[in-house]
Amino acid sequence: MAIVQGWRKYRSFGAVRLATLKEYATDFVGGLVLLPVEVAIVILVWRTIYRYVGPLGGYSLDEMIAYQLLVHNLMRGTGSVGTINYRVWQDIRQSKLDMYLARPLDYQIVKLCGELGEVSLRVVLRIAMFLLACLVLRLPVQADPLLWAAFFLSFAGGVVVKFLEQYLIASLAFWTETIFGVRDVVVAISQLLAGSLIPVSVMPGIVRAIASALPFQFILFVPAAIYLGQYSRLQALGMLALQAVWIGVLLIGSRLLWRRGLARYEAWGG
Amino acid sequence: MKARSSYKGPLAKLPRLLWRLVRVGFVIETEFRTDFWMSVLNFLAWNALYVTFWQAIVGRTGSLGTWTAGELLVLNFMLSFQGALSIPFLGLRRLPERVREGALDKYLCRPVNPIVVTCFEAVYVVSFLRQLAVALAGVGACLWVYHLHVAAWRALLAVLLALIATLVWACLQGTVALLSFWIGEVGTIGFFLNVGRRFERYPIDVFPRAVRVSLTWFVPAALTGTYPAMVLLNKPINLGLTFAVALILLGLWGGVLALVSGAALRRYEAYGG
Repeated sequence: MAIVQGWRKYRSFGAVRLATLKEYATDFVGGLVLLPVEVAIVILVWRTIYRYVGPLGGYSLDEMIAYQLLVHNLMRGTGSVGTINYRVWQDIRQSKLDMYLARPLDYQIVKLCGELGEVSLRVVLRIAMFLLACLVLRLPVQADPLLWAAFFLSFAGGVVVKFLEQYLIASLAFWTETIFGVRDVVVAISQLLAGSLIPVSVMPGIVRAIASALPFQFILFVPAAIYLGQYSRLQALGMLALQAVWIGVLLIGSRLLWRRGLARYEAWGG
Repeated sequence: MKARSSYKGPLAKLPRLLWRLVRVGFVIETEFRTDFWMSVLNFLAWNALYVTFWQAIVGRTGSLGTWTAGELLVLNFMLSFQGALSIPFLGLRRLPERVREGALDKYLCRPVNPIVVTCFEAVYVVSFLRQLAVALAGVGACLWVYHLHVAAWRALLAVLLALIATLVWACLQGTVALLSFWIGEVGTIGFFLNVGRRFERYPIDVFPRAVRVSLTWFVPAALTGTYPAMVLLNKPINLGLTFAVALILLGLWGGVLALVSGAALRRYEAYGG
Protein backbone atom coordinates (compact mmCIF):
# COMPACT_ATOMS: atom_id res chain seq x y z
CA MET A 1 0.00 0.00 0.00
CA ALA A 2 2.83 2.34 0.92
CA ILE A 3 4.51 1.57 -2.38
CA VAL A 4 1.32 2.41 -4.30
CA GLN A 5 0.94 5.69 -2.39
CA GLY A 6 4.61 6.48 -2.96
CA TRP A 7 4.29 5.75 -6.67
CA ARG A 8 1.24 8.03 -6.98
CA LYS A 9 3.13 10.80 -5.23
CA TYR A 10 6.18 10.65 -7.47
CA ARG A 11 4.27 9.83 -10.65
CA SER A 12 2.72 13.29 -10.50
CA PHE A 13 6.17 14.88 -10.91
CA GLY A 14 6.66 12.96 -14.14
CA ALA A 15 3.16 13.82 -15.32
CA VAL A 16 3.66 17.53 -14.58
CA ARG A 17 6.93 17.56 -16.49
CA LEU A 18 5.26 15.76 -19.38
CA ALA A 19 2.36 18.23 -19.39
CA THR A 20 4.73 21.21 -19.44
CA LEU A 21 6.56 19.79 -22.39
CA LYS A 22 4.70 21.88 -24.93
CA GLU A 23 7.57 21.93 -27.34
CA TYR A 24 7.40 18.20 -28.04
CA ALA A 25 5.26 18.79 -31.11
CA THR A 26 7.80 21.27 -32.46
CA ASP A 27 10.59 18.86 -31.65
CA PHE A 28 8.84 16.05 -33.48
CA VAL A 29 8.01 18.12 -36.56
CA GLY A 30 11.49 19.67 -36.54
CA GLY A 31 13.01 16.23 -36.17
CA LEU A 32 10.98 14.92 -39.11
CA VAL A 33 12.07 17.80 -41.31
CA LEU A 34 15.72 17.36 -40.40
CA LEU A 35 15.62 13.56 -40.44
CA PRO A 36 16.50 13.20 -44.15
CA VAL A 37 19.49 15.51 -43.72
CA GLU A 38 20.76 13.63 -40.67
CA VAL A 39 20.22 10.25 -42.32
CA ALA A 40 21.95 11.41 -45.51
CA ILE A 41 25.02 12.51 -43.55
CA VAL A 42 25.26 9.20 -41.69
CA ILE A 43 24.92 7.21 -44.92
CA LEU A 44 27.41 9.33 -46.83
CA VAL A 45 30.05 9.25 -44.10
CA TRP A 46 29.80 5.53 -43.33
CA ARG A 47 29.51 4.39 -46.93
CA THR A 48 32.67 6.33 -47.67
CA ILE A 49 34.49 4.92 -44.64
CA TYR A 50 33.42 1.35 -45.41
CA ARG A 51 34.47 1.73 -49.05
CA TYR A 52 38.01 2.38 -47.86
CA VAL A 53 38.37 0.24 -44.75
CA GLY A 54 35.72 -2.50 -45.04
CA PRO A 55 33.51 -3.81 -42.21
CA LEU A 56 34.46 -2.76 -38.69
CA GLY A 57 34.30 -5.09 -35.69
CA GLY A 58 31.68 -7.43 -37.12
CA TYR A 59 29.30 -4.61 -38.08
CA SER A 60 28.06 -4.73 -41.67
CA LEU A 61 27.48 -1.37 -43.36
CA ASP A 62 23.72 -1.62 -42.74
CA GLU A 63 24.30 -2.47 -39.09
CA MET A 64 26.73 0.41 -38.64
CA ILE A 65 24.27 2.84 -40.24
CA ALA A 66 21.49 1.47 -38.03
CA TYR A 67 23.77 1.80 -34.97
CA GLN A 68 24.62 5.40 -35.79
CA LEU A 69 20.99 6.35 -36.42
CA LEU A 70 19.77 4.62 -33.27
CA VAL A 71 22.47 6.15 -31.07
CA HIS A 72 21.86 9.58 -32.58
CA ASN A 73 18.14 9.37 -31.83
CA LEU A 74 18.68 8.01 -28.32
CA MET A 75 21.05 10.88 -27.59
CA ARG A 76 18.54 13.42 -28.86
CA GLY A 77 15.76 11.74 -26.89
CA THR A 78 17.66 11.75 -23.59
CA GLY A 79 19.37 15.12 -23.94
CA SER A 80 17.43 16.63 -21.02
CA VAL A 81 18.92 14.09 -18.57
CA GLY A 82 22.31 15.59 -19.31
CA THR A 83 21.16 18.93 -17.87
CA ILE A 84 19.88 17.60 -14.53
CA ASN A 85 23.22 18.57 -12.98
CA TYR A 86 22.42 22.22 -13.61
CA ARG A 87 18.97 22.05 -12.04
CA VAL A 88 20.21 20.22 -8.93
CA TRP A 89 23.18 22.61 -8.67
CA GLN A 90 20.72 25.52 -8.78
CA ASP A 91 18.59 23.98 -6.04
CA ILE A 92 21.63 23.51 -3.80
CA ARG A 93 23.46 26.78 -4.43
CA GLN A 94 20.32 28.94 -4.46
CA SER A 95 18.95 27.25 -1.33
CA LYS A 96 15.90 25.91 -3.10
CA LEU A 97 16.19 22.49 -1.49
CA ASP A 98 14.14 23.69 1.46
CA MET A 99 10.82 23.18 -0.24
CA TYR A 100 11.65 19.53 -0.86
CA LEU A 101 13.26 18.93 2.53
CA ALA A 102 10.19 20.25 4.31
CA ARG A 103 7.94 17.71 2.60
CA PRO A 104 7.72 13.92 2.80
CA LEU A 105 9.51 13.54 -0.52
CA ASP A 106 12.73 11.98 -1.67
CA TYR A 107 14.49 14.64 -3.72
CA GLN A 108 16.38 12.14 -5.89
CA ILE A 109 13.21 10.25 -6.82
CA VAL A 110 11.39 13.52 -7.55
CA LYS A 111 14.11 14.53 -9.99
CA LEU A 112 14.29 11.07 -11.57
CA CYS A 113 10.52 10.94 -12.12
CA GLY A 114 10.61 14.38 -13.71
CA GLU A 115 13.29 13.22 -16.12
CA LEU A 116 11.51 9.97 -16.95
CA GLY A 117 8.35 11.89 -17.72
CA GLU A 118 10.11 13.98 -20.33
CA VAL A 119 12.35 11.25 -21.72
CA SER A 120 9.51 8.77 -22.16
CA LEU A 121 7.72 10.93 -24.71
CA ARG A 122 10.82 12.17 -26.48
CA VAL A 123 12.24 8.68 -26.85
CA VAL A 124 9.02 7.23 -28.23
CA LEU A 125 9.05 9.95 -30.88
CA ARG A 126 12.74 9.42 -31.59
CA ILE A 127 12.35 5.65 -31.92
CA ALA A 128 9.45 6.24 -34.30
CA MET A 129 11.79 8.40 -36.39
CA PHE A 130 14.49 5.75 -36.25
CA LEU A 131 12.06 3.07 -37.45
CA LEU A 132 10.83 5.35 -40.21
CA ALA A 133 14.42 5.82 -41.39
CA CYS A 134 14.99 2.04 -41.23
CA LEU A 135 11.91 1.39 -43.36
CA VAL A 136 12.87 3.97 -45.96
CA LEU A 137 16.46 2.72 -46.13
CA ARG A 138 15.40 -0.93 -45.92
CA LEU A 139 17.59 -1.49 -42.90
CA PRO A 140 16.72 -4.55 -40.81
CA VAL A 141 13.97 -3.90 -38.26
CA GLN A 142 13.91 -6.31 -35.34
CA ALA A 143 10.72 -8.32 -34.97
CA ASP A 144 11.54 -10.35 -31.86
CA PRO A 145 9.41 -8.97 -28.96
CA LEU A 146 11.90 -10.32 -26.41
CA LEU A 147 14.67 -8.39 -28.09
CA TRP A 148 12.58 -5.23 -28.04
CA ALA A 149 11.80 -5.81 -24.38
CA ALA A 150 15.49 -6.27 -23.59
CA PHE A 151 16.30 -3.14 -25.59
CA PHE A 152 13.77 -1.00 -23.73
CA LEU A 153 14.87 -2.41 -20.38
CA SER A 154 18.48 -1.72 -21.18
CA PHE A 155 17.67 1.73 -22.50
CA ALA A 156 15.65 2.62 -19.38
CA GLY A 157 18.57 1.41 -17.29
CA GLY A 158 20.86 3.58 -19.43
CA VAL A 159 18.73 6.63 -18.64
CA VAL A 160 19.02 5.85 -14.92
CA VAL A 161 22.82 5.41 -15.24
CA LYS A 162 23.06 8.77 -16.99
CA PHE A 163 20.81 10.37 -14.39
CA LEU A 164 22.88 9.00 -11.49
CA GLU A 165 26.12 10.08 -13.18
CA GLN A 166 24.75 13.63 -13.47
CA TYR A 167 23.31 13.52 -9.96
CA LEU A 168 26.67 12.53 -8.50
CA ILE A 169 28.32 15.46 -10.25
CA ALA A 170 25.58 17.82 -9.06
CA SER A 171 26.04 16.64 -5.45
CA LEU A 172 29.52 18.16 -5.50
CA ALA A 173 27.75 21.54 -5.32
CA PHE A 174 27.51 21.01 -1.53
CA TRP A 175 31.29 21.44 -1.42
CA THR A 176 32.20 23.57 -4.43
CA GLU A 177 30.91 26.83 -5.89
CA THR A 178 30.68 25.46 -9.43
CA ILE A 179 30.55 21.94 -10.77
CA PHE A 180 30.70 22.66 -14.46
CA GLY A 181 34.40 21.99 -14.98
CA VAL A 182 34.03 18.49 -13.54
CA ARG A 183 30.79 18.02 -15.42
CA ASP A 184 32.33 18.90 -18.79
CA VAL A 185 35.18 16.44 -18.27
CA VAL A 186 32.81 13.65 -17.24
CA VAL A 187 30.51 14.41 -20.18
CA ALA A 188 33.43 14.23 -22.63
CA ILE A 189 34.66 10.94 -21.16
CA SER A 190 31.12 9.64 -21.07
CA GLN A 191 30.59 10.49 -24.75
CA LEU A 192 33.74 8.59 -25.65
CA LEU A 193 33.09 5.51 -23.53
CA ALA A 194 29.33 5.33 -24.12
CA GLY A 195 29.86 4.64 -27.81
CA SER A 196 28.46 7.89 -29.15
CA LEU A 197 30.80 7.96 -32.16
CA ILE A 198 31.59 4.29 -32.67
CA PRO A 199 30.48 1.07 -30.98
CA VAL A 200 32.59 0.12 -27.95
CA SER A 201 33.36 -3.26 -29.54
CA VAL A 202 35.05 -1.46 -32.47
CA MET A 203 37.31 0.71 -30.28
CA PRO A 204 41.04 0.06 -29.97
CA GLY A 205 42.02 -2.54 -27.32
CA ILE A 206 42.85 -0.41 -24.30
CA VAL A 207 39.95 2.04 -24.74
CA ARG A 208 37.59 -0.90 -25.23
CA ALA A 209 38.87 -2.48 -22.01
CA ILE A 210 38.33 0.76 -20.08
CA ALA A 211 34.87 1.27 -21.61
CA SER A 212 33.87 -2.29 -20.76
CA ALA A 213 34.92 -1.84 -17.14
CA LEU A 214 32.90 1.35 -16.61
CA PRO A 215 29.13 2.05 -16.57
CA PHE A 216 29.09 4.58 -19.44
CA GLN A 217 28.65 1.85 -22.07
CA PHE A 218 25.17 1.14 -20.68
CA ILE A 219 23.96 4.60 -21.71
CA LEU A 220 24.14 4.07 -25.48
CA PHE A 221 26.27 1.18 -26.65
CA VAL A 222 24.66 -1.72 -24.78
CA PRO A 223 21.03 -0.80 -25.66
CA ALA A 224 21.99 -0.30 -29.31
CA ALA A 225 24.02 -3.53 -29.44
CA ILE A 226 21.11 -5.45 -27.88
CA TYR A 227 18.74 -4.02 -30.49
CA LEU A 228 21.11 -4.92 -33.33
CA GLY A 229 21.39 -8.50 -32.07
CA GLN A 230 25.12 -8.20 -31.31
CA TYR A 231 24.54 -10.19 -28.11
CA SER A 232 23.09 -13.67 -27.76
CA ARG A 233 20.09 -13.90 -25.41
CA LEU A 234 22.30 -15.15 -22.62
CA GLN A 235 24.86 -12.39 -23.19
CA ALA A 236 22.09 -9.78 -23.28
CA LEU A 237 20.77 -11.10 -19.99
CA GLY A 238 24.27 -10.92 -18.54
CA MET A 239 24.64 -7.30 -19.68
CA LEU A 240 21.28 -6.39 -18.14
CA ALA A 241 22.37 -7.98 -14.87
CA LEU A 242 25.68 -6.11 -14.96
CA GLN A 243 23.79 -2.91 -15.69
CA ALA A 244 21.59 -3.52 -12.66
CA VAL A 245 24.71 -3.98 -10.51
CA TRP A 246 26.15 -0.69 -11.77
CA ILE A 247 22.86 1.10 -11.11
CA GLY A 248 22.98 -0.28 -7.55
CA VAL A 249 26.57 0.92 -7.08
CA LEU A 250 25.85 4.38 -8.48
CA LEU A 251 22.64 4.63 -6.46
CA ILE A 252 24.36 3.78 -3.20
CA GLY A 253 27.23 6.12 -4.02
CA SER A 254 24.92 8.99 -4.88
CA ARG A 255 22.79 8.47 -1.74
CA LEU A 256 25.85 8.42 0.50
CA LEU A 257 27.31 11.52 -1.15
CA TRP A 258 23.99 13.31 -0.93
CA ARG A 259 23.58 12.46 2.76
CA ARG A 260 27.06 13.79 3.57
CA GLY A 261 26.47 16.87 1.46
CA LEU A 262 23.09 17.57 3.03
CA ALA A 263 24.78 17.84 6.41
CA ARG A 264 26.64 20.86 5.03
CA TYR A 265 23.55 22.44 3.48
CA GLU A 266 22.47 25.76 4.92
CA ALA A 267 19.56 28.00 4.00
CA TRP A 268 17.47 30.68 5.61
CA GLY A 269 14.23 29.08 4.57
CA GLY A 270 11.67 31.04 2.59
CA MET B 1 13.40 53.63 -29.60
CA LYS B 2 14.64 53.81 -33.15
CA ALA B 3 18.27 52.96 -33.70
CA ARG B 4 20.49 56.00 -34.05
CA SER B 5 24.03 54.95 -33.30
CA SER B 6 26.27 57.80 -32.25
CA TYR B 7 29.22 55.84 -33.60
CA LYS B 8 31.06 58.02 -36.06
CA GLY B 9 33.76 55.53 -36.96
CA PRO B 10 36.82 56.46 -34.91
CA LEU B 11 38.49 53.09 -35.21
CA ALA B 12 41.28 54.38 -33.01
CA LYS B 13 39.14 53.70 -29.95
CA LEU B 14 38.40 50.12 -30.95
CA PRO B 15 41.74 48.51 -29.98
CA ARG B 16 41.57 50.07 -26.49
CA LEU B 17 38.03 48.86 -26.06
CA LEU B 18 38.91 45.36 -27.25
CA TRP B 19 41.93 45.24 -24.93
CA ARG B 20 39.68 46.15 -22.00
CA LEU B 21 37.22 43.40 -22.97
CA VAL B 22 40.10 40.92 -23.22
CA ARG B 23 41.22 41.80 -19.68
CA VAL B 24 37.69 41.47 -18.31
CA GLY B 25 37.32 38.12 -20.10
CA PHE B 26 40.61 36.89 -18.61
CA VAL B 27 39.50 37.74 -15.07
CA ILE B 28 36.13 36.05 -15.56
CA GLU B 29 37.62 32.89 -17.06
CA THR B 30 40.28 32.46 -14.38
CA GLU B 31 37.94 33.15 -11.45
CA PHE B 32 37.57 29.46 -10.67
CA ARG B 33 40.97 27.79 -10.98
CA THR B 34 39.69 24.24 -10.64
CA ASP B 35 37.28 24.88 -13.48
CA PHE B 36 40.14 26.24 -15.55
CA TRP B 37 42.17 23.06 -15.17
CA MET B 38 39.07 21.00 -15.70
CA SER B 39 38.49 22.82 -18.97
CA VAL B 40 41.99 21.81 -20.07
CA LEU B 41 41.17 18.20 -19.19
CA ASN B 42 37.85 18.55 -20.98
CA PHE B 43 39.52 19.71 -24.15
CA LEU B 44 41.99 16.82 -23.97
CA ALA B 45 39.13 14.37 -23.43
CA TRP B 46 37.29 15.62 -26.53
CA ASN B 47 40.46 15.19 -28.57
CA ALA B 48 40.87 11.69 -27.12
CA LEU B 49 37.38 10.96 -28.45
CA TYR B 50 38.45 11.70 -32.01
CA VAL B 51 41.86 10.05 -31.63
CA THR B 52 40.03 6.89 -30.54
CA PHE B 53 37.64 7.25 -33.44
CA TRP B 54 40.39 7.43 -36.05
CA GLN B 55 42.43 4.69 -34.42
CA ALA B 56 39.36 2.46 -34.61
CA ILE B 57 38.63 3.34 -38.24
CA VAL B 58 42.11 2.88 -39.67
CA GLY B 59 43.40 0.42 -37.09
CA ARG B 60 43.16 -2.51 -39.51
CA THR B 61 43.93 -0.97 -42.90
CA GLY B 62 46.35 1.72 -41.72
CA SER B 63 44.76 4.41 -43.90
CA LEU B 64 41.59 6.02 -45.19
CA GLY B 65 42.12 6.83 -48.84
CA THR B 66 45.44 8.64 -48.99
CA TRP B 67 45.28 9.56 -45.29
CA THR B 68 47.34 7.56 -42.81
CA ALA B 69 46.41 7.36 -39.12
CA GLY B 70 48.97 10.03 -38.23
CA GLU B 71 47.74 12.37 -40.94
CA LEU B 72 44.14 11.95 -39.81
CA LEU B 73 45.17 12.94 -36.31
CA VAL B 74 47.01 15.97 -37.69
CA LEU B 75 43.75 16.87 -39.47
CA ASN B 76 41.94 16.57 -36.14
CA PHE B 77 44.37 18.90 -34.36
CA MET B 78 44.47 21.35 -37.29
CA LEU B 79 40.72 21.59 -36.89
CA SER B 80 41.22 22.30 -33.19
CA PHE B 81 43.76 24.95 -34.15
CA GLN B 82 41.27 26.60 -36.48
CA GLY B 83 38.65 26.28 -33.72
CA ALA B 84 40.99 28.19 -31.41
CA LEU B 85 41.35 30.96 -33.98
CA SER B 86 37.57 31.29 -34.17
CA ILE B 87 37.08 31.66 -30.38
CA PRO B 88 37.38 35.49 -30.47
CA PHE B 89 34.38 35.50 -32.82
CA LEU B 90 32.12 33.40 -30.55
CA GLY B 91 30.21 36.54 -29.60
CA LEU B 92 28.56 36.46 -33.03
CA ARG B 93 26.39 33.62 -31.76
CA ARG B 94 24.93 35.87 -29.07
CA LEU B 95 23.98 38.61 -31.50
CA PRO B 96 20.57 37.22 -32.61
CA GLU B 97 19.51 36.78 -28.97
CA ARG B 98 20.59 40.34 -28.12
CA VAL B 99 18.67 41.73 -31.08
CA ARG B 100 15.51 39.84 -30.10
CA GLU B 101 15.85 41.01 -26.49
CA GLY B 102 16.39 44.60 -27.61
CA ALA B 103 19.64 44.61 -25.63
CA LEU B 104 21.66 46.78 -28.00
CA ASP B 105 20.31 50.01 -26.48
CA LYS B 106 23.08 50.35 -23.94
CA TYR B 107 25.62 50.62 -26.75
CA LEU B 108 23.55 52.80 -29.07
CA CYS B 109 23.95 55.79 -26.79
CA ARG B 110 27.74 55.43 -26.65
CA PRO B 111 30.40 56.24 -29.23
CA VAL B 112 30.97 52.60 -30.19
CA ASN B 113 29.69 50.33 -32.92
CA PRO B 114 26.94 48.29 -31.19
CA ILE B 115 27.42 45.25 -33.42
CA VAL B 116 31.18 45.10 -32.95
CA VAL B 117 30.93 45.53 -29.18
CA THR B 118 28.16 42.93 -28.87
CA CYS B 119 30.32 40.45 -30.76
CA PHE B 120 33.39 41.08 -28.62
CA GLU B 121 31.87 41.95 -25.24
CA ALA B 122 32.96 38.57 -23.88
CA VAL B 123 36.37 37.64 -25.23
CA TYR B 124 37.43 34.19 -24.12
CA VAL B 125 41.15 34.87 -24.17
CA VAL B 126 42.04 32.00 -21.82
CA SER B 127 40.00 29.51 -23.85
CA PHE B 128 41.70 30.82 -26.96
CA LEU B 129 45.21 30.39 -25.55
CA ARG B 130 44.40 27.00 -24.03
CA GLN B 131 42.92 25.55 -27.21
CA LEU B 132 45.72 27.03 -29.29
CA ALA B 133 48.37 25.46 -27.04
CA VAL B 134 46.71 22.04 -26.95
CA ALA B 135 46.11 22.05 -30.72
CA LEU B 136 49.70 23.00 -31.51
CA ALA B 137 51.01 20.45 -29.01
CA GLY B 138 48.72 17.87 -30.63
CA VAL B 139 49.98 18.63 -34.13
CA GLY B 140 53.57 18.54 -32.87
CA ALA B 141 53.05 15.24 -31.07
CA CYS B 142 51.49 13.64 -34.17
CA LEU B 143 54.34 14.83 -36.40
CA TRP B 144 56.86 13.43 -33.92
CA VAL B 145 55.15 10.10 -33.15
CA TYR B 146 54.29 9.30 -36.76
CA HIS B 147 57.57 10.66 -38.20
CA LEU B 148 55.81 13.14 -40.47
CA HIS B 149 58.10 15.79 -41.91
CA VAL B 150 56.82 19.31 -42.46
CA ALA B 151 58.57 22.24 -44.12
CA ALA B 152 58.42 25.52 -42.19
CA TRP B 153 56.98 27.45 -45.14
CA ARG B 154 54.19 24.89 -45.47
CA ALA B 155 53.38 25.29 -41.78
CA LEU B 156 53.13 29.05 -42.30
CA LEU B 157 50.88 28.59 -45.33
CA ALA B 158 48.67 26.18 -43.37
CA VAL B 159 48.33 28.72 -40.55
CA LEU B 160 47.52 31.45 -43.07
CA LEU B 161 44.87 29.28 -44.70
CA ALA B 162 43.34 28.44 -41.32
CA LEU B 163 43.26 32.16 -40.54
CA ILE B 164 41.49 32.96 -43.82
CA ALA B 165 39.05 30.10 -43.16
CA THR B 166 38.32 31.58 -39.73
CA LEU B 167 37.56 34.97 -41.25
CA VAL B 168 35.37 33.41 -43.97
CA TRP B 169 33.34 31.60 -41.31
CA ALA B 170 33.19 34.69 -39.10
CA CYS B 171 31.76 36.67 -42.05
CA LEU B 172 29.36 33.86 -42.91
CA GLN B 173 28.14 33.44 -39.34
CA GLY B 174 28.07 37.20 -38.87
CA THR B 175 25.81 37.55 -41.91
CA VAL B 176 23.48 34.86 -40.60
CA ALA B 177 23.49 36.48 -37.15
CA LEU B 178 22.62 39.87 -38.64
CA LEU B 179 19.64 38.37 -40.42
CA SER B 180 18.06 38.35 -36.96
CA PHE B 181 17.43 42.08 -37.47
CA TRP B 182 14.91 41.04 -40.13
CA ILE B 183 13.68 37.58 -39.18
CA GLY B 184 14.44 37.26 -35.44
CA GLU B 185 15.13 33.57 -34.99
CA VAL B 186 17.98 32.38 -37.22
CA GLY B 187 18.56 28.98 -35.59
CA THR B 188 17.34 27.01 -38.61
CA ILE B 189 19.76 28.73 -40.98
CA GLY B 190 22.51 28.16 -38.44
CA PHE B 191 21.55 24.49 -38.31
CA PHE B 192 22.14 24.06 -42.04
CA LEU B 193 25.55 25.67 -41.71
CA ASN B 194 26.34 23.30 -38.87
CA VAL B 195 25.24 20.33 -40.94
CA GLY B 196 28.05 21.12 -43.34
CA ARG B 197 30.47 21.49 -40.46
CA ARG B 198 29.72 17.93 -39.36
CA PHE B 199 31.94 16.87 -42.28
CA GLU B 200 34.90 18.85 -40.97
CA ARG B 201 36.29 15.95 -38.96
CA TYR B 202 36.67 13.84 -42.08
CA PRO B 203 39.16 14.36 -44.89
CA ILE B 204 36.89 15.96 -47.47
CA ASP B 205 38.81 14.50 -50.42
CA VAL B 206 37.54 10.99 -49.70
CA PHE B 207 33.96 12.05 -50.49
CA PRO B 208 32.38 12.18 -53.96
CA ARG B 209 33.06 15.25 -56.12
CA ALA B 210 29.64 16.84 -55.56
CA VAL B 211 30.16 16.76 -51.80
CA ARG B 212 33.68 18.15 -52.11
CA VAL B 213 32.45 21.05 -54.26
CA SER B 214 29.56 21.78 -51.87
CA LEU B 215 31.85 21.73 -48.85
CA THR B 216 34.29 24.07 -50.56
CA TRP B 217 31.99 26.67 -52.09
CA PHE B 218 28.59 26.56 -50.39
CA VAL B 219 29.35 25.54 -46.81
CA PRO B 220 33.14 25.92 -46.79
CA ALA B 221 33.84 23.23 -44.20
CA ALA B 222 36.80 21.95 -46.24
CA LEU B 223 38.64 25.18 -45.54
CA THR B 224 38.75 24.71 -41.80
CA GLY B 225 40.46 21.32 -41.49
CA THR B 226 41.14 19.35 -44.64
CA TYR B 227 42.81 22.00 -46.79
CA PRO B 228 45.11 23.43 -44.07
CA ALA B 229 46.09 19.84 -43.13
CA MET B 230 46.76 18.99 -46.80
CA VAL B 231 48.91 22.10 -47.16
CA LEU B 232 50.80 21.28 -43.96
CA LEU B 233 51.37 17.63 -44.83
CA ASN B 234 52.43 18.27 -48.43
CA LYS B 235 49.55 16.23 -49.81
CA PRO B 236 48.53 16.66 -53.46
CA ILE B 237 46.73 20.01 -53.52
CA ASN B 238 46.87 22.98 -55.87
CA LEU B 239 48.16 25.70 -53.55
CA GLY B 240 47.37 28.62 -55.86
CA LEU B 241 43.84 27.45 -56.52
CA THR B 242 43.18 26.68 -52.85
CA PHE B 243 44.26 30.14 -51.70
CA ALA B 244 42.37 31.74 -54.59
CA VAL B 245 39.17 29.96 -53.55
CA ALA B 246 39.72 30.96 -49.91
CA LEU B 247 40.29 34.61 -50.82
CA ILE B 248 37.30 34.70 -53.19
CA LEU B 249 35.10 33.33 -50.41
CA LEU B 250 36.52 35.86 -47.96
CA GLY B 251 35.87 38.72 -50.39
CA LEU B 252 32.37 37.45 -51.13
CA TRP B 253 31.24 36.93 -47.55
CA GLY B 254 33.13 39.97 -46.29
CA GLY B 255 31.24 42.08 -48.84
CA VAL B 256 27.91 40.54 -47.93
CA LEU B 257 28.61 41.13 -44.24
CA ALA B 258 29.49 44.78 -44.86
CA LEU B 259 26.26 45.28 -46.85
CA VAL B 260 24.05 43.53 -44.34
CA SER B 261 25.57 45.18 -41.26
CA GLY B 262 25.05 48.61 -42.80
CA ALA B 263 21.36 47.96 -43.30
CA ALA B 264 20.81 45.98 -40.10
CA LEU B 265 21.18 48.71 -37.47
CA ARG B 266 18.66 50.91 -39.26
CA ARG B 267 16.05 48.24 -38.65
CA TYR B 268 16.72 47.86 -34.93
CA GLU B 269 13.85 48.75 -32.64
CA ALA B 270 13.53 48.54 -28.88
CA TYR B 271 11.68 50.28 -26.07
CA GLY B 272 14.89 51.44 -24.50
CA GLY B 273 15.70 50.67 -20.92
